[in-house]
Parts: sequence; C-alpha cells; structure tokens
Amino acid sequence: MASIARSTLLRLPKAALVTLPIATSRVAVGVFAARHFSHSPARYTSAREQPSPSAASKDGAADTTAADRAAKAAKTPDMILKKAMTYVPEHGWTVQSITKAAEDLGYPSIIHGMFPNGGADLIDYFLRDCLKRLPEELEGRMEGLKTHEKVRIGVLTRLGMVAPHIQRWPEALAIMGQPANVPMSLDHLAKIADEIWYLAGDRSADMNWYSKRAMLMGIYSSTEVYMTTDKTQNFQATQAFLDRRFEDAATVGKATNDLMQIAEFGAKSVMGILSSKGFRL
Amino acid sequence: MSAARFTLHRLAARNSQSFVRSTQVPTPARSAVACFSTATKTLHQQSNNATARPSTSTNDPETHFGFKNVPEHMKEAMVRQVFANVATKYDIMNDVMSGGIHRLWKDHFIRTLAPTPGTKLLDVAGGTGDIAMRFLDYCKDTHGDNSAQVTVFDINPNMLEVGKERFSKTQYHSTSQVSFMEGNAENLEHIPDNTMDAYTIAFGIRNCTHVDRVLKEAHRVLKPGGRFMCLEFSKVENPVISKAYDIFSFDVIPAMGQMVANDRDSYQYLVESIRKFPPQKEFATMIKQAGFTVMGQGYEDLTFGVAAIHSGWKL
Repeated sequence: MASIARSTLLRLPKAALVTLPIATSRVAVGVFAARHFSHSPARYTSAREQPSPSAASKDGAADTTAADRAAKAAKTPDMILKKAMTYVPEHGWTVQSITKAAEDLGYPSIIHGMFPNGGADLIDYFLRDCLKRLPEELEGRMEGLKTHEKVRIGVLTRLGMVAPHIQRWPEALAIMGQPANVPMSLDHLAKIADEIWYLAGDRSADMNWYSKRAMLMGIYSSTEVYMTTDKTQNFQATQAFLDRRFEDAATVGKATNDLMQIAEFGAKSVMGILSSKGFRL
Repeated sequence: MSAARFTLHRLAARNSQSFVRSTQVPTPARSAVACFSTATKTLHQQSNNATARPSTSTNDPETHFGFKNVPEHMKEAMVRQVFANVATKYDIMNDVMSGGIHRLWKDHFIRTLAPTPGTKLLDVAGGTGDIAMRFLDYCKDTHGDNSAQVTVFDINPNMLEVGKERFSKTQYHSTSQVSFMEGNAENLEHIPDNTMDAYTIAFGIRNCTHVDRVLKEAHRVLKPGGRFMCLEFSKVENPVISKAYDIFSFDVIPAMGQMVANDRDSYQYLVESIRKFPPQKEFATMIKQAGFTVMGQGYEDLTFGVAAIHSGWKL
C-alpha cells in the first residue's frame, strides 16, 4: 500500500519543481535546511544511560518513599517509549520496538500491555515530544520576520523533527490513517497548526482563527506526505513544495476575494436593472 | 470435608429466610413483586440484612458470604464447599449460565494480556485451567512459542483435579509448561518475591475473604514491570440492562443450577457474591492502594459491565 502511495506521489510535483519560483532565496533555504534538518536520533540515546529499575531498587530500596515510587511509576511509560524510539529505525513503529526497549530497561516484555495501541502509542509519544520541543527549537528564530515567514520557519522546523525518522515515516502515516487512530492523528495535526500560528504571534479571536488553522493543517499534512518521497539533499524539493502550497493558499484567498467582488457587482447590477423597470426595493 | 458441609448447611438453615426463597405465606406487598420476579425482593432484603442482623459472635470480625454475614474464619471453608460441590459441572454450568459468553470474555482477557515468548504466568483461582489453556494456546499460535510457563493455583483440590484431567489430554501434559499448586491466594508462601511476569485471577477474587491481602501477595510475587490482571463480574450501570440482569441472576441462574448441577444453594451464593463485590472504580482504587500503577481508568467493561477486566503494573 505504501509503495503505491509512494509511486503516485513521486510523479506528482517533481516536474513543476524547476519552473516555479521560490519565495525565499536558494542560499537562505540551504543554510536554513542544514540547520533544521540535522536532528539526529541521538537525543533518544540518552535513555541508555538510565539505570535499570532492578539495579536501582537493589541500591536504594529502603530510602524510596511511596511518593517517590509513584512519581517514578508515572514517568515509566514515557521512559519506555523514549527508549523504544531508538528501535524505530530497526523495528518500526511496532510492539516489538516497545518490548525491546522494556527489556533494555530491565522490565519483562509483558509490560507492553501498558500501550494497548502498540505502534500508535509510540507515534503518539513521538508527536507529543515534537510538540514540546517546537517552542524550544524556535526560540529567538522568529524575531523581526513577517508573519508568513514565521509560519514558514515554524513548518520547516516541525518537518525537520520528522527528518531523522523519514525512512519509517510512511509506516507511521499508514498507522495514523487507520480508522481507530484518526482522532489521535487529527488532534496532533490541529495542535501542530495551532502551535505554529501561536508562535508566529497570531492572537486572532474571530473566524480567521479557524480558517488560518485549517489552511495550515492542509499545508502541513500534504507537505509531510510529500517529504516521505523526497530524496533531494536537505529536502530541498520539500521546501519548494511547501512554498508552492503557501502561494496556492494566497491565490485561493485572492480568488475568493475577487469572486466576492464579482458577486457583489452582479447583485448591484441586477438591483439597478430592477429599479429602472420600476421595482421599489 | 463433611464438617465443612455441615457448617454450610447449618448457616444456610439459620439464614434461610434472608437469602433462600421463602415458602411461607407472603405478605400482600411481597407477593405482588414475587409473582413477577424475586430479584427486587432479594436485593431489597440485602440492604435490610446488612444492618438488622445481629452478629453471630461478638469478637470475631464478620465478612459477607453472598448476602449473609459470616465470621471471617468460616468463609474460606464455605467457599471451598461451594466449589467442591460445583467442580465437576463448573465448565458446563458457565456455558449454560452465560450462553457461552464467558468464553469470549476469557479470549479477550488473554488477547489483552498479549503474552510474549517465555512469559511466566501465575494463574490464581485457575482450577479448571480455562485461562491457563488459553494462555499456552495463545503463545503457541501467535509466537510459535513453547517456553511460556503457567502455574495453575487454586485453593480447591477438586477444581485442580478437573484442570489436571483436562491438561492430560493435551500436548502440554507432563511438560514444564504447566504446573499445579494448591493454596490460598492470600498467602502465596511457596512462591518467591519478584518471580512472575504476569498474575491473572479470573472469577476468583470475589470469593476471597481479604481481597486486599490477595492484591498485596500478587504485588509481592510479580517482577518489577509485571502485570496484574483480573477478570471478574462487576456492576452494570445501565438501569434497563441492570434490571434484566438482576432478574436473570436471581431467578434464572439458581433454577438452572438446580436443574443442571442439582445444587441451588451454591449458585445462589455465586450470584449473591457478584452483587457484594465492589464496583469497577472502587476495585481499581483497591488495586492502586496495593501499590500497582494503572493506566487510564484502570479497567475495561465487558458486556455492559457484567464483567470487567482490571489491570495494574508493578513499577
């Protein structure tokens, strides 16, 4: 299934790539990409240093209070999932990645039952983690930029977090698309759009709030799908694709306005004709 | 054994008015209900019973045995007697009473546990081997694994005999994959600390005198990261279904017990003990108090809450 999706997608936007102009200069894009797509899975390897629970309990079983134990227990599920991320390149978004991680941390593999949705729970953890990291990553990057530039950087930074797992991301998208997981996926997509708009300084409190987020959800999800098939250096094709989507959004907005003007003009004309025929309006 | 039987009957006789259908001339108010169903009456009596009954002994704490109160030290023998009575007919009666649904519950229970290769399971109150068999079959069918082990633990030798008999006809017979152990769930003294990957108890925990002690022992024998899982009858919240369920429980099940197993009182106890067991949320709280970590609300309702699966992890 994934391969079919991949092949159709490959055919779609590549041809258009060369002809369309890109809003930002190529050089700036290159520098930016080098900075943002360079996340390595290394951040997850820190979990290796954490002591196994069995070792810890031997050392300090007596001095742990019930509150400490409860606090540690509350952190355990995320600790296992964090560790499981290191197995994603090898085993994908699967229960197997989770059981491997649990065993590394000294737990019996039966503990995987904590995550009844298996791979979907692992994806959920990854998306939660990305959302938490996004403001940190964007700290001080948006100052002095125009709103649309801020949004663009936000989207690129967020896509950059997927880059280390891009080989396994089509699988993740397939899992997220399963009916049972759709609510989770949409929730995360909405949060991504909201977070980016918020960080870009959007404080609107009208219908715009919804339309802006809906527009960005569409742009983000389509670009992410495109990215899974992108083999170019630093995902340059993805960035070009993103810029085209922004242009489309602007064009659609303009077209809508034009259409409204035409409709208004038409309505006024009709009224004018009617009144000239003696109708009182 | 005969002493225990005598005790049961003596107590049954003493409390017969409160929990066995009365043959005396009913008052007009009661007969109006009784002509339709005795379920409401039986439930109504339960609430009166709890407060009005004088304790049989002043210094011995009491516990419930169905809707009756009995001294704590007697409950174990009485429960033992109930299961000694029903052991040979236990599985057929489960099918008759639940219309086969208990099989679906147990299948779902094992799928939820989703054992991995090499899992060591302690199946408490697992006498007839229903859970143990499903566990080993799951490991074989899903993982092609024959290193998983299960210890079937039960207080009742009659029930264990039924289980041994059943396993003797399978490929697991006289392998290290299955073993049987007799004992009380409140005291797993022959099982060392931190040795089990999973602990299951299906339709057993409500018959134990001290549920908190059972949970403490489960916590002790599990490895860190091990899973406690309990399948037990629970509370139906939906009022319409609850009403139908009460009628079925108090009118149909004891009658079927009479017909199929020729033992009305044991099945009367079984349905009463279901009503005395704490509802889902309360039991989840008890599991947390025993030191387990639960995910979310900690349980899953099956068939409108007729049964529920509770889960906890030792962390």
